[in-house]
Amino acid sequence: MIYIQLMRIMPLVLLSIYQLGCLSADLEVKVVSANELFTDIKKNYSSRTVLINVWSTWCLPCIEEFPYIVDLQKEYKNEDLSVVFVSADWDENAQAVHDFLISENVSGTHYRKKEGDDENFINEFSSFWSGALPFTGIYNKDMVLKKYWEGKKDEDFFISSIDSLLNIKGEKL
Amino acid sequence: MKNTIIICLTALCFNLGAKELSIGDNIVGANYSLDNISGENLRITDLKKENGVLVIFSCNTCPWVVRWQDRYNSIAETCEENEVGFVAVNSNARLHDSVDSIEEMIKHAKINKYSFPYALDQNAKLAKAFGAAKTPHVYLFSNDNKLFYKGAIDDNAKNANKVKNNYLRDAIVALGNNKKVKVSSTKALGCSIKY
Repeated sequence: MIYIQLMRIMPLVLLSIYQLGCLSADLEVKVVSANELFTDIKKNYSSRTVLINVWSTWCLPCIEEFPYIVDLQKEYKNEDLSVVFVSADWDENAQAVHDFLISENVSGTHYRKKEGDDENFINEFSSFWSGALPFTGIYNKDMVLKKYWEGKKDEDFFISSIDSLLNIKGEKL
Repeated sequence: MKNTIIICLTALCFNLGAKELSIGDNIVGANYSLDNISGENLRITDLKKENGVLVIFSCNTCPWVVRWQDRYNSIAETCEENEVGFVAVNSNARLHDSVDSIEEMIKHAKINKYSFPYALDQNAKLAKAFGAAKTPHVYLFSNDNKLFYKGAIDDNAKNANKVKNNYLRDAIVALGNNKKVKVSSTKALGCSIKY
């Protein structure tokens, strides 16, 4: 009897283990405050510029621009640009964030905002940011903001913005 | 001269959009015609009461609006008690033919039992004039048409029972009692206005 029941649930168990493996092996989503995020980036990234995109699963413009922001990392050398995504989804959407990231075939470290304290979170990114999503900021390796914008932009806008910063000669980015 | 150049370069570098109203600024666009869900046209000038007027940029679908709107009627009551006019404005011009059409706004207001004017802002004229960028976002003006408070409704979109700082209510009460407000400008995450 127990054997039959085990056989019934085994496919589900195996599927869950497989899915868990996919999530934990290739994709990590850290839940962070803005301060923890910036500390983590300073510790783990050494590129000349860091592009941070704040998005949400329920934000259509965010979802629309997500794929070509992912592709930016392939367009630039690792020493020039790091692309970092931060989801502003609430805890109840944690699974939706995972599912979306998997559907976009992304891997590595991603971040999700700790719930609460929106104002401090916003101002840590930029005192100019109103709080509207999506938000994109480009920082130097000391995490000093060099350029930012709110709302969806096309791929060319992203590329020209990054290029304009990378091409500044004789100035510390 | 050097400072002027630095300011100009900073503006270019940071891609500054339409300038948002600052605390103490005069109201703009108060005579723009807005399409109320009741079928009439209205202007902020007409909505203003003895102590001022409150404008909330809102919409039908933004998750932050959906969470915060359970407080809208209470805000309307606080405005009433303090002789402050109130209107919720939908400036999502790119969505005015779909999820934020006037028909959908009428349905949305009925389902959520809105007890206050909810108006469509054609071509987002008012949002652009205010420099408003997101929903929900509030602008509270005093009787002399100066911006008295702007920003968030409170500090907890998800749960009205867990609010610690009731920024907007405190500002309306302060305005109604001719007192200064402790916090005049706040921020919260929200949806970008689609225009």
